[in-house]
Amino acid sequence: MIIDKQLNLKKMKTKNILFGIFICLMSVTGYAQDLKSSYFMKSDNLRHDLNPAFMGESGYVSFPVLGNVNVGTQGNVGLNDFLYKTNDASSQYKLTTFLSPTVSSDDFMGKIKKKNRINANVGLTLFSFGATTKRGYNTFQLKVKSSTQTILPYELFDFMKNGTSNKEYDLKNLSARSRSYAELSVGHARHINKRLDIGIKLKALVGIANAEAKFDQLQVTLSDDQWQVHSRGTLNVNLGGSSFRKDKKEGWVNGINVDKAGVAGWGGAIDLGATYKVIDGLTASAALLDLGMMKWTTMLKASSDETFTFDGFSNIPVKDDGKENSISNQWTGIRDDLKKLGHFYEDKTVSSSHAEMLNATLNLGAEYVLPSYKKLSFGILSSTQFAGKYTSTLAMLSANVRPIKLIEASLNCNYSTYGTSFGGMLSIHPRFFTFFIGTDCFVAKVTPQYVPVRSANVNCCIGLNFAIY
Amino acid sequence: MKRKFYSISILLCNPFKLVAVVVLFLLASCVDHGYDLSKDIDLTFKLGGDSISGPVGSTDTVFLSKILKVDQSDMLNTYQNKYYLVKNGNAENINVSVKKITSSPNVNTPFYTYTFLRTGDPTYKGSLSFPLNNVQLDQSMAMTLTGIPDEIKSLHALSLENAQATITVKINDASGTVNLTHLSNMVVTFPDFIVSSDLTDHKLVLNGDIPGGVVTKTINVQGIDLGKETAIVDHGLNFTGGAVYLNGGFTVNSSNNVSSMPNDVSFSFSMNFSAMTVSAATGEFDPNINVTVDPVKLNNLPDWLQDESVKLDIYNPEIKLDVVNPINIPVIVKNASITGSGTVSIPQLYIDAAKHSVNYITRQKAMDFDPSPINADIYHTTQVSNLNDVIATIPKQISITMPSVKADQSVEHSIELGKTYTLDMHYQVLIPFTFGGALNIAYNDTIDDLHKNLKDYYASEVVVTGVVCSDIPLDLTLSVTPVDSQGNDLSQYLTINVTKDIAAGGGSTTSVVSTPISVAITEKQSGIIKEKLNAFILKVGAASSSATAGKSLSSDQFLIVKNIHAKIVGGVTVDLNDN
Repeated sequence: MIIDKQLNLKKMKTKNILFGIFICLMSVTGYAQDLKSSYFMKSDNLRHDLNPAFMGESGYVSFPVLGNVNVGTQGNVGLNDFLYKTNDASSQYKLTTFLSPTVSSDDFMGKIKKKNRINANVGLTLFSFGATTKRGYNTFQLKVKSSTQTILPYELFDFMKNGTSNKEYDLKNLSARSRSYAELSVGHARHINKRLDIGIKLKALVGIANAEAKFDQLQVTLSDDQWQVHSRGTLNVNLGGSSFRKDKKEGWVNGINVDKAGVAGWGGAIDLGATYKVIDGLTASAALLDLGMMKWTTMLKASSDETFTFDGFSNIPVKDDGKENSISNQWTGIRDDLKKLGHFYEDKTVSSSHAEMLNATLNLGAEYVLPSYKKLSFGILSSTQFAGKYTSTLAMLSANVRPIKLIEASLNCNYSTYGTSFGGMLSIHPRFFTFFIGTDCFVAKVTPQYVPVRSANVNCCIGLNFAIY
Repeated sequence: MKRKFYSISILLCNPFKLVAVVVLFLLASCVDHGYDLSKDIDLTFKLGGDSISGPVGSTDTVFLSKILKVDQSDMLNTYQNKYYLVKNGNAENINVSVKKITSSPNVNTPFYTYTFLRTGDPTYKGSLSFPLNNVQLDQSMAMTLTGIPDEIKSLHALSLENAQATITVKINDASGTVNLTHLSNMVVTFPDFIVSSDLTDHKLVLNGDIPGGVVTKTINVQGIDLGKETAIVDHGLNFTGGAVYLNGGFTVNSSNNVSSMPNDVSFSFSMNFSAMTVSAATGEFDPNINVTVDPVKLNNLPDWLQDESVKLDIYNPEIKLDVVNPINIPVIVKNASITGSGTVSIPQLYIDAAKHSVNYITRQKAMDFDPSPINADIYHTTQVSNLNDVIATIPKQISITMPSVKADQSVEHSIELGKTYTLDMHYQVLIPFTFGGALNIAYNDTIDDLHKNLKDYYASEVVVTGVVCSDIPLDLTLSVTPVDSQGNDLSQYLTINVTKDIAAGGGSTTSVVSTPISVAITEKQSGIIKEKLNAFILKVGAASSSATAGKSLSSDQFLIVKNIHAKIVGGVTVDLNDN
């Protein structure tokens, strides 16, 4: 009977594993971000990504590709900032846009930030390996990272919603950046003494693609006599074996030809970390990640510097509609001139390569284990990613519990550049493997299409690693 | 509590169920069907905040030739760019004739007899010559004419057809022995009233041998000249013209063998006139002249002259009367009248005899506008100061009546009798748009098909400003009426305040006047522009003043609207939904 029970349990476990994997695989939708919720999760062998001084409870080897799938989006604005319910039973439409006259300017602009950010990140651990040695804990990892960041300035939405005369709108913060690279890292962590652990990770970086488009100047001036738009921007692309595709008539860049895919750059970085047990139950930690640079080769640069001025239609025909200078013909010309604001022309005067610093991240944490119930701890984490105008910060308050060795869970509340959210992680850590799933943002509401309603902060991290002893 | 704890522990101990719960929790959380992105989203956008304003630009130069098009009306034309109206009219055939004199002039037959040998006188043989010294024939020549028609009031001369006078000179001798053998420069002097090409200074000279003994000489008589106007009495006249004189001599030859003349022998001179037909006459005539002038209808006027507010004050309107008068009698038209919106009287018009003449009936003293000059023999101008009354409010037709058309009887003229002459009379009504101080015209236009362009836009108030630059020498007033697609006035729902007055220009490119204008369109009923408005009826009144009197409306005058700005108060709402 006990054997039957055990056999049934095994079958149930197998089913549940398969069911769990299925569910987890199905759950990988959309984008997510680095899982800060795992910072205080000791059962997560891949914590060394957040602080190289963190050592796994055991050696591990990750499930190929699925060792740590990290997908997410971040944003300090959400769908319900741009789409509003009409609340009109007689209307055929249930939703309307922020430009609708039924949406007040105060309501909408009150939700818009000075810099409206929307980011997307994907991290895929192709292979990861960690092993405990006499000297410490060594790791070896191959990852692919991709991040895309956009900034939409407040003035852009102010102009769209309230664009009015005798006002100047400075939209120069309008920008987007995307970067992808592969990272091969070797890490080592060791105990220095009973209190101090340090870790270091050396990374070799292979650039896959890099692109940035930004407007150094984008001014819209509306006055009674003249509407003027002045734009000055740059487009930088690093993509191996590529060239700009240009418009045949006017030569502006309208795409990229990839003749022969190749490496776009080389770089290196270093992660430094340390943990320090201040007193029993209180551990402070600090880590500086991605301190390094990437030299991008095969740089394609294009720039634009255009001024569009509209001071009225000239010679508006009054009696002859079909004339060459009819309003419709002039409007076509104006539209063409407006389009030129977004036309970039290749600039071959710059060097074909450039180097840039990586977006370093500083994590500062502290964890306090409840003396009366040592299976419960509370942590606080500050994480800052230094990325120029894309710099972001996060502060997280976390409660972590491991009632049994098998299971560890974390719930947290975090406040970041992208707003406030709740996150959590669950790690199941039987003897031979670790399965984890977590998110830094629980999604409160989604559309029927599973698009988050309230904010663009969605991420999911899921992974499966096998323990080695 | 125990049961609950047991359930929770089971869950915690069964990781995969826990995972499923967590995943479902992560994923499903709460689906808000109010944000169903598969449904249509309202694409109604409001742009511009509290208000949006900006430049619109400037119009092209709107020449009057584009607004007041000559092809709108067959009456409207331009000459040297100046606008004018023209309408041509005719008179029905004006046939004029003076009947023939039904009878032949009756001219008496004067004679002369000279008895140079009496009975019993001794006879002789051989030639004898006798002188004639200013011998007056027994009777003066006289003419009687009857059957003169009423149209002939007096006669001065007659032209004759087939008229001859036969002169017979012979010797009357019963015995037959004395013959006329020779005339020695016998000069027959006719009275002045006989007009003959065969006479020289009214004289006929007969000279030479007379083989047959009788001289018969026929002369053609072309006419009778009465010497002065002779009144007609009871359709006839009697005229005594004067005596015939003979000078010279004659020679006879006698072959008489007797001693004394058995009879008288005389020399005789006689004259006989054939029957005559009077073909033409010179005198004073009063033929019956009836002139019926066809009126001209002023239909197919251009739109800007059809409004009931139109009043014309034309500086120098004209009636151009073109007459070809084949009759050698001038015609005087008295008390002609021209009737249109008012009636004016023309005391006298003069139509020259046997000439192509043009009479300009003008408001001013002189004619100053003729786009189609006629190559005539003679031109007259008659001033009618109140001529504008005819067209002050453009009539449906203009008619000319000529109740008294008479030949000029103050002078004598020559005319063929019995011939019908046809006077060819045409006239033109010319209204050049050189105006006085009280002209008022109205131009209406419609800016339509607005609904298809506006149905996706909502704005509660639009203000358009600009500057109108005009060299048109008329003060312009604007009014704008909004209408829907059925033409119903929407003024109760939509207020349009427009700058009413645009100052007149000077009439040339160097005298452009600028007037700021403003058009403010305000909804009194929300949504009326989007839902109903389809057209603007634009009414432009144009009026002259004392400052612009004497200036002309030309097709090269223009309007430009510059510095147009538009302000949409409250922004504009655009409906981009597919409905």
